[in-house]
Amino acid sequence: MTRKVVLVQQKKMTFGKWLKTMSWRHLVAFITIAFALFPLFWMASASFDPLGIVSSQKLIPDHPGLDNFRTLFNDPDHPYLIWFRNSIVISGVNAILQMFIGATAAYALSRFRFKGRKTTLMTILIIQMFPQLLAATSIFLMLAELGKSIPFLALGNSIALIIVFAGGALGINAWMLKGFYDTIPSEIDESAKIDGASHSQIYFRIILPLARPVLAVIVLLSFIGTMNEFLLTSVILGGKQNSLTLAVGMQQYIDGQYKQHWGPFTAGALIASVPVVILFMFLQKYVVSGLTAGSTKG
Amino acid sequence: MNKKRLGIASAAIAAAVAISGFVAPAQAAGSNLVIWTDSDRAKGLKEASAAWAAKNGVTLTVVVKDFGKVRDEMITAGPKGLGPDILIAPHDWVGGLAASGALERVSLTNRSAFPRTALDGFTYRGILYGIPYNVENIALVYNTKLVSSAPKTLAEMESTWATLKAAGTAKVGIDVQTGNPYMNTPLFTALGGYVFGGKANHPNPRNVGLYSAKFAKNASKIDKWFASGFLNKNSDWTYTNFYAGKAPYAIMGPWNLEDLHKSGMASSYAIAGVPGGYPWIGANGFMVSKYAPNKFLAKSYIANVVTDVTFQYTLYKSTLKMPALLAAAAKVDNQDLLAMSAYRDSSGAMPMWNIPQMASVWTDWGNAWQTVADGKSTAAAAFKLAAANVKKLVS
Amino acid sequence: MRSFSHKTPALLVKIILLGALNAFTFWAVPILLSHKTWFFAAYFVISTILIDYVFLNSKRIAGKYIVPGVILLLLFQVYPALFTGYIAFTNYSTGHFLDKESAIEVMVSNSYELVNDDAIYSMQIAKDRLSGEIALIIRDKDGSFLAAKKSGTSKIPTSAITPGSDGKVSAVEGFKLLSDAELMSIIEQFNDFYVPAGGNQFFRVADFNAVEKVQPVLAYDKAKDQITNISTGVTYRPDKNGSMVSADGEEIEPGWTTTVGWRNFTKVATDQRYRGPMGLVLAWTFSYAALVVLSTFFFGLVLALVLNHPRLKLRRVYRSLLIVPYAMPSVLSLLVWAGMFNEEFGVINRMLHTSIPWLSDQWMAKVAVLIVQLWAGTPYMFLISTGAIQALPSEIVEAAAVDGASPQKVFWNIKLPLVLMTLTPLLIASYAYNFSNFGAIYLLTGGGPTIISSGGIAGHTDILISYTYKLAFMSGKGNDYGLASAVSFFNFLLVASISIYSFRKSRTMENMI
Repeated sequence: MTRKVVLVQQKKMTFGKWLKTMSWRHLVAFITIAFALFPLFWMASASFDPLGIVSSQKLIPDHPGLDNFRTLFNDPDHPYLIWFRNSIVISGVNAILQMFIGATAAYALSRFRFKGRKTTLMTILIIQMFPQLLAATSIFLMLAELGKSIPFLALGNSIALIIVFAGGALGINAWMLKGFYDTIPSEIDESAKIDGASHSQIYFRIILPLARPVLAVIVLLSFIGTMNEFLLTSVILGGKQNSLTLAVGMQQYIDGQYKQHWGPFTAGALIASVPVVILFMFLQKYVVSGLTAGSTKG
Repeated sequence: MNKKRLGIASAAIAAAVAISGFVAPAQAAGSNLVIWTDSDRAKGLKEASAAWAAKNGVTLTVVVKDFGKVRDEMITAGPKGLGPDILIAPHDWVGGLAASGALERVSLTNRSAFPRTALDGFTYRGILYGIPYNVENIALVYNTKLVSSAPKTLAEMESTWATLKAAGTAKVGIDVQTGNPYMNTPLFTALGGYVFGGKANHPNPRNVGLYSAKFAKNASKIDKWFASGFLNKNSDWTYTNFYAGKAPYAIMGPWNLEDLHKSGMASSYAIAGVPGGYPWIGANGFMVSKYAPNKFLAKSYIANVVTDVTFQYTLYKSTLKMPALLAAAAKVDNQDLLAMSAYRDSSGAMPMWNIPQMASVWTDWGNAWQTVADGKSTAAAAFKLAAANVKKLVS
Repeated sequence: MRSFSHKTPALLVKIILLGALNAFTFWAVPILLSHKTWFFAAYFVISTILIDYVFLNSKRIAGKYIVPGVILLLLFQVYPALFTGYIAFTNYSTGHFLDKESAIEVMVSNSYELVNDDAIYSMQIAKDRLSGEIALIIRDKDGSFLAAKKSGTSKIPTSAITPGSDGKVSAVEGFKLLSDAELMSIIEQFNDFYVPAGGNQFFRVADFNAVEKVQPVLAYDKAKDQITNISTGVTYRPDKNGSMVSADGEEIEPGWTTTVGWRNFTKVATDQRYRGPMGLVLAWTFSYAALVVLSTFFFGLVLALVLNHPRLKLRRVYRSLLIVPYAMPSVLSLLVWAGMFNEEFGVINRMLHTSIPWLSDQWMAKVAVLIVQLWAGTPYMFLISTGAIQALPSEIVEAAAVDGASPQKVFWNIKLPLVLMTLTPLLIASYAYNFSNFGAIYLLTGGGPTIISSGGIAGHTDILISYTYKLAFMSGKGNDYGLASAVSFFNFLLVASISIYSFRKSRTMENMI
């Protein structure tokens, strides 16, 4: 019996029951959302304020206007739309790649017992703890060296960036997936094996669909992570104005010698959060369908 | 099974050979001059150099870099052959860059075309490393609705503040970013403090003046200023009080003029100096990378273009900073910039030190201001500590 | 029962991918070798062999799943970490970024000076008609002409010169004068163009119309490994810190990168300025990271549970709005928060009608930092908790329900332990992340307020990493990557050993591995 069926059978809730089981949930949601969005009002205000000063922003600007948005979309020196496209493409490719590599490795770590398994698991966990700021310097030096021979691994190339990011796929996400795979009873694999499935078929057609909620979360985390990643991206792409991502490109608005143009920066950041929200809206379908997916067996 | 494995292997190798045949390395060359700058200047620079580039068939590649990171990148990327030909940067970077071997010395035939201070700024250990294109300094801006004329003494400023405070018309005396040692320099020097002794570009690191004898006598004034609200302990860089007409004075640089004109104070301000004090002189200019792929072209660009009156004047028009070239500066008609420059000339200001050790000076000096503002220490104790720290690090 | 037929497309994909990889290696390795990048050449060869072996061997099933990821991990995570470890033992810092050879070259080339103040000569550039070599036609101070080539300088007889207008030469016998356009096309050749001018002197091309007669002030003697100032006679010898230093301590810049043993580590351990506030900083770092993880996880999990009711309307909208803080660039949101916490103008004090010194009192600053991290970190915890709860295997939960366990019991005895088991490694990683989250501190408080007793650098909200970067990048001569690496490595060892310890302590984790 699946959860979905249960849902259909449920009757309309009475008001008393709603008050008891639902009302407080709405209340909690309202309060936390208010807290989460509170600073965003000031950001929104700064984005409509030609002075756009952020740190001492008034809630209602003195002379509100669309100047910042106009600057954002019409400045040929800061091609916002191109950066936007780059961000979506790089983050999208990277999210899928990271999810796939991580999920695949996690499968081996969960289902097979092989030499070096414990070492790999611990390495994955521990290496994450290394401070990124200095690692970026060595990645710069590495790509400077590699780029002399292999053009697509040179500094300034988005492929190099994606490959470097892929190196981080065996990160904490792989641990999360492994932990999840461990909770899937091994009888499921066994019975498929009896049905004549190969290891890859078990993985692609049974385990991956079961893991959809976690995979969806990981895609989202990787996507946001790549969208906002600044350090490595600026080290690797810096200087190629048309191949930058939003996080690096928009930094130019606030990292000039004299002026910090917080207005367009804030406007750009607010717009950039829209695809994240849309992606999450979309992925929720997979997140919440997890329970029913588990019942395909039998 | 064995057959199948062999099949895969041979197919893989075949594909390998097939694909490797198609890949060939690409190359591109030509007279390409690469300039690194931050985003504010990029546009004006392209305009001002367009004619020269077209005439000589040079492709001018202006690369926008984050101001906060470009200095490090210059040092690390240069020796790898990934750096620019030319870097545009403030003069106080020269020490750190030259000490790391990142800069090429430049020659300038007509030195008298530039103010000496600007060239001094770009000179490190006796070698000229850059040609300045602008000179800048901060100055005192006052609200003409609250203050009738430029102040002649610090005491006059204090009493003006006291009157306005009593009347409830002002919330703070001088609106200046709290804890920022650069912006507070005119006040600091007015009290008799200085950073290093020595002249022009020959600082004497043994003579640290952060707690000079004269300053020691006046230090308690800073405590009083924060206590009375003459200086505000919570001000950021946005001049909230001054723009709202709640402060008679502010200390600003030319980069603030645009916002000042957008603010409510647009028609009721005047520019003067902090009496008895002086600001730092900052110069920005063009430096040639030691590892410039096109070094000779870069040098001839600097010698022929950057020293050109029209070039510097065009940059002035797009960036609104006082040109360094005297002939271009003479054509400037922006009254605000002229007033700010007048303060520099009349106060005997000198270029900010460009030695790499300034990194620790800024940190310790800024800490001293912030600690006093937070009420955690008296000015005497805080600046005495800063002086001791700087002495230890510099020696 | 499902059918699991074996199809060929999967095999085809495998062959293409393997083929592409091998092709890449076949192509790249010779180029890498030609650039003498031995390390990366070896890396590509070994990786390719390993992948071929694993994928062409039907017994290496686990390897097929894990090897590709591990190979990437080694290059882009492990290697940079080891490289940083190496930097920690060097003096890589402002003034010491070059290798020794380049540094000495810079010292000598920067020391070329004009022979005398008016040693500037007008000049035109030509090509030798016979050899094609570039020749500088220089007008000497006495009006005679020289042809200076890299191979040597010779006098040009006046008879060979055809004078032109404005003091220039219009033709020279045996040479072809080059036009500006011709010069521009070969301009790269004039980078560092020096022509011997007799003795220790050189003609250096200043621009297309002039040369300078220069001579070096410094000379490097490779055999003795020392530099001599030709005009003063002072000699400079290498010291242990990668600099050329004279007997009385005068140093020529730049220096070079060299290994310095444990110096960067001992500096932190022995220098009072670094060591003094270390205890306070460490205590705050540990508690800060722990408090952030606990608070964000608690709220994240509670929110995930509260919003996880299937009949809760709008729950998708709620969830989407809750993650918005996570999608904001931290440089922006931290600045907004800093503004909101401003004692005088900040919205928080204005709304509460208080004047709490949020950022200048040490305790309030700590509270402020924690509030902001709660805001910034909860969405992440909320997301992973939601994922973990949703992914609970329904078989187990349903089985328990069938056995008659109450919903509360199912939650406390089955759901929660399973969720915790999935999430514990993430919590440990999150602890490590916060332990080293430089930006969170630096952008909000800058580490302040200052710990007075520390001598000015450390602040009450400084965590180890922000403190060390202040030491390494904002004091002394500028950027000291060697020192920063040393302390980062120390930071890493600390957090790694805590993690391993807590790992061993937790029984569920031991079972997991």
